[in-house]
Amino acid sequence: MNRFRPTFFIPLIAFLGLAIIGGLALQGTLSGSRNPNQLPSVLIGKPAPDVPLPLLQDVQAELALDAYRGQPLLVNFFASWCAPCRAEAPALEHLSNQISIIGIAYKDRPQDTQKFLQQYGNPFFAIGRDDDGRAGMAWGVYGVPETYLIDPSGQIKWRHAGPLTRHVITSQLMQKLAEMQ
Amino acid sequence: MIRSCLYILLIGGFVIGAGTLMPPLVGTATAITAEEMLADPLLETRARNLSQKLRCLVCQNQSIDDSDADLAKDLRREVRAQLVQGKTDEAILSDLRAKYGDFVLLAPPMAKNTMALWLAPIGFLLLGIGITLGIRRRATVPAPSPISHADRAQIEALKQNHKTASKPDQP
Amino acid sequence: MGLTEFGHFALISAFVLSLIQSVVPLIGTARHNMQLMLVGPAAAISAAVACVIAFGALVTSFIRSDFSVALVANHSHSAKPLIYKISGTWGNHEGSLLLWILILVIYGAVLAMSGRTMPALLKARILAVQGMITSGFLAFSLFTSNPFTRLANAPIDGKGLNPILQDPGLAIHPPMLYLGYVGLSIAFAFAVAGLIGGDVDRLWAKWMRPWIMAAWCALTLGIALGSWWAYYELGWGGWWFWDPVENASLMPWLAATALLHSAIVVEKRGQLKSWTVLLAILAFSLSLVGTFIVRSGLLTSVHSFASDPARGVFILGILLVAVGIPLLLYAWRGPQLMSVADFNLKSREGALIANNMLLVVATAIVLLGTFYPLGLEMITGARITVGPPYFDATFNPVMGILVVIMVIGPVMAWRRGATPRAKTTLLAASVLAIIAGVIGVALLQDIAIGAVGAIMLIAWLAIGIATDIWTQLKPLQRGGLAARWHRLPTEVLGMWIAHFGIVVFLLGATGDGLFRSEQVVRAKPGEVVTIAGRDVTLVRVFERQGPNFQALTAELEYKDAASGKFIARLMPEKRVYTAERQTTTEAAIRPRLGGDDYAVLGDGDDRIGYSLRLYYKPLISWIWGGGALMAAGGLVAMIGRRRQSAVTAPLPNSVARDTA
Repeated sequence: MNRFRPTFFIPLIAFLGLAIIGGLALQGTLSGSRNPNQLPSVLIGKPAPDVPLPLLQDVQAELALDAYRGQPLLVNFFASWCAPCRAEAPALEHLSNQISIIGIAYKDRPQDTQKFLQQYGNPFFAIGRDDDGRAGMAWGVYGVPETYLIDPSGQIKWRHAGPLTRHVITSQLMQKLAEMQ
Repeated sequence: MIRSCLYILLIGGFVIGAGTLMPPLVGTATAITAEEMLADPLLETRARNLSQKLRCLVCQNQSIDDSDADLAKDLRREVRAQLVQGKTDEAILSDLRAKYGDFVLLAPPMAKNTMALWLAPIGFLLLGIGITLGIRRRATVPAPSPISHADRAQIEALKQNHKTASKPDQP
Repeated sequence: MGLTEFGHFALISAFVLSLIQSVVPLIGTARHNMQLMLVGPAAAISAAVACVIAFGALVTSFIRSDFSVALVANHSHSAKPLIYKISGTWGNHEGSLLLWILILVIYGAVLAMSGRTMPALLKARILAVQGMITSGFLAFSLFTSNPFTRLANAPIDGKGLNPILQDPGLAIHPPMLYLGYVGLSIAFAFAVAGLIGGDVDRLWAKWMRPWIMAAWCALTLGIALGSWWAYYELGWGGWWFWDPVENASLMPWLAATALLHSAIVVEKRGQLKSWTVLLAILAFSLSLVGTFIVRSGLLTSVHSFASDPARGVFILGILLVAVGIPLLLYAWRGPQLMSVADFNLKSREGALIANNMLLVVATAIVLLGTFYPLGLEMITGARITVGPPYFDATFNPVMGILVVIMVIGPVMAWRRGATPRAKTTLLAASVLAIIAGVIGVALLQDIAIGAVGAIMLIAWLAIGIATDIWTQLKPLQRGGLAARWHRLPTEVLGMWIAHFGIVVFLLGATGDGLFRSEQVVRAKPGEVVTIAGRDVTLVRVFERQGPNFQALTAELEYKDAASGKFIARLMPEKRVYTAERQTTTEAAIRPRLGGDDYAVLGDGDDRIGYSLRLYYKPLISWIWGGGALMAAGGLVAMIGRRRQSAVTAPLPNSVARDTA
């Protein structure tokens, strides 16, 4: 009466495989280690793109990142029209005491950027302008704000898309900085 | 024999027709504006084709050709700028892939980690054909199964018939 | 005030009743206790009544704009038109889940009340399985997604509904889709009950078929409605995006189509039993996987509800029990259902097996494409996209082969060989397909090879069906046409209609896909654009106020380019919904049998001109017409069977007559 055929177990095994993937993904989403709405950067471990940008203060002068090598750097893409950028301003202000931050005004007008900095503070020691977004494209920017951590040799070590929160800073950025020492 | 060959030829022809060489059937409304379009129609056609292969990163499952989003507009402009510079289609796709990752391509690239994805459909088909042909050769003796509903119904009918047959006849 | 609490109480009662329905009839089957088995139908009907009350309570809260109910406050608004207040009930996770449950229990109740010829044992087991599914979903609703929670402080007005969802198509698309998804649970219950009792046979298949048909028709219509709605509402001009949630509805449909066809073989020939059982389990399992995709927040999609991964865990739990256990049962007891294959591959059975095989391969491809990005991300962390180009390259060819088989199958005989009319049909179809291909190449310059292939496939299928009809009805033969018509089983009629629906669908998809016209311009008021033989004048652009939005509207006048005759006025617009602060594009569409005129307004002003995108999409409405025809064919086949089984004399009498 009882015949055993291994092929009849294939649907069950396939289903269990699918369920494991689903379960792992759920666990990752719940624990926060994965976010379906966030894209990981493919430039991690690669040298920071060398796209010359005009300075906010002086259009003739250029912002060149390799001038600042030898120290860890944060590069923050922001804009006056970006609401989360306002939310992260205090966090950036606080961070600027520990690490140098370069700001890049993304697809913005200089007068609006200036107003934004006056209103929400200026944590940047240098500010570049990416008026048409092409520089951002070289970095793989797909929205603002985005923050990149560059190590003393000029390599991108970490990227965060979205506003920097206290949680992100303490759980991720601080670790990356410590690894660099 | 000839008939079988004819059938195989027909099936083969239709498969090729329906498959990889078929242009995308779903015609979406594009998001491009007149100003974005290139003057050279050949380049513009290439631009549209490339745009349909690139994903809008801030949208839900749209190509940059279809999306109204700012980033899509920027990417469309970038594609056209690179085309005007004379780059090949593959070079433009690799360039964007290097900046944004495989995610930006609507069709996954053929790489080590997507080999299974591209080979599996053919594998499924071959497996299916194999199993179908294998059914013929299967000769299993069915185990005695419990009384089926059809048999049960027939038994009931025979019982009824037996009862009516043993009733006294009408005068 | 108390209505919501009453609804909540009704829902809890339904839960208890479903639990009873799951357990008691099974005990009855084990002990052959008729009274315990009869608890099944009683519990099913009572649970249905309770759910109707619960759902009614929720709808009433929406209609009354009772913002003390959290769901109403979050998803409704007093300014919404009444019909959208009602449809807003299922425009959110909790409400749509309640709708799902409602349809589930109603199906169970209908089964309980019908099926009088079904033996009590089978019916009891089916209702028990149905009860288990219902209990699981009721638990999900009551413990994680309660629609009846109250707010301590009711707001003055609600947060409103997503403006994209304020559309008549949306009012009916989810209910229709759910009728399909949930209907497959009955076939699933049949399969599991059959595995438990070991009594899978031709009668089992005969009782199961109407339920498969009903679910399949509803699912076909639901998918067609969703596609049609996306075309009209989203302003993207497309009708299928290979979006994960769309795939979630396509997979059960493909499995149900395979199930439909393999159940025929079980009923007519008593073969393919274990395969049919597996398909029935898979079809509903895919519905459940679809629920998982939509509600768990794992895959981003335009369709997913604002979802909570914690709920995803509960659904995964339901999946493990509802799918894992039947598949285990199948692995254990399925082999007993296998029978000797007493047919040649070159037969109708063979063609139906090929049909099943291709549909299952297609389902596997869609499943792979949908879940591969997630799987890859779990293993390597890499993010990739599997979009339309992948599915076009893999799914379409498999469907192409299926279209070829669709003409061969119906002209094959059972057990071995081809019917006499096969030669005529296949010859006619091949010849005309080749002619169509040649005409295509000759008429249209630089036509793609793929397009030629598509045209040939359509001709093959259309002529194949037409010749099959011709050879069976023989209309030119003198006399007897009426008799031949009446002798035709209604199922064959249904098959012809449904398969012809596929021809119509393919014509629509090909017409729009390969032959559409497009004009992208920037025009100032007064300027004229020509497209597809029409002169389109941008008359003016103005602002207007809608019931809950502000719009920028363009007035376009279409005239025939050759004669100057007025054709139509189209008014595309861009809307800003005040409550949600969301902008939508309303494409102006003029649907006609021959093709749609489609216009989209972009940004701009009177000075620099307005961005206009004009399209002419030939035959596009045939896509949904084809879908409707397919469902109609299924309906004909379903209704016809009941009429026929009433006509056919039941077994006992005929036996008695023979021996009288």
